[in-house]
Amino acid sequence: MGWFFVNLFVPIFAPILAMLFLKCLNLPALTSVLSLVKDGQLGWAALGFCVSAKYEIATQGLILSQSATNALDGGFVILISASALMAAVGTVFPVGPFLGGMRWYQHYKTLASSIVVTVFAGGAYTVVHYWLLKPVSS
Amino acid sequence: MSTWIKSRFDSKESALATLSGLGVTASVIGFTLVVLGIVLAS
Repeated sequence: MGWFFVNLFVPIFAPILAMLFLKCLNLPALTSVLSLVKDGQLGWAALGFCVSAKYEIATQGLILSQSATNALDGGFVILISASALMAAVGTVFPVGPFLGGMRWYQHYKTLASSIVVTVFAGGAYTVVHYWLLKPVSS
Repeated sequence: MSTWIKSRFDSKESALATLSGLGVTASVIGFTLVVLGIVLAS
């Protein structure tokens, strides 16, 4: 559980908690907490998950078959590309405030897709950590 | 094919939908490959 908190929960929710802290200060230029994630910023967290997983694999000294290495490398390269795409798309196409008339995920397309990418990147990191590396205690 | 690709980037809305869909599809493929790698390694 500690591993989940440090490696997955903190990178996603720490900026949101920091924003809530700043809201308490009642500063004049504050915007909505949603502005932290609405333009694909979760892609940066997903990118971190993938890089951390690659680092864990590389530093454990595992001897894997060529086919397993190829599948893991290919999978993480694709996940890293998807995460980077989400972060870049949000910057190119920033969305305005939600005015209603459609479902939230139709308006916040980048947010919705970056949530999916982050879930899969975090899932891949978890699978690698718990099933491939088999830690003694975590 | 190239006409279809161009049409997907005609407007901001369709480009955003295309790129978001591409990201989601890529993440599903990437996760599947990682799971396949785990299976092949075990």
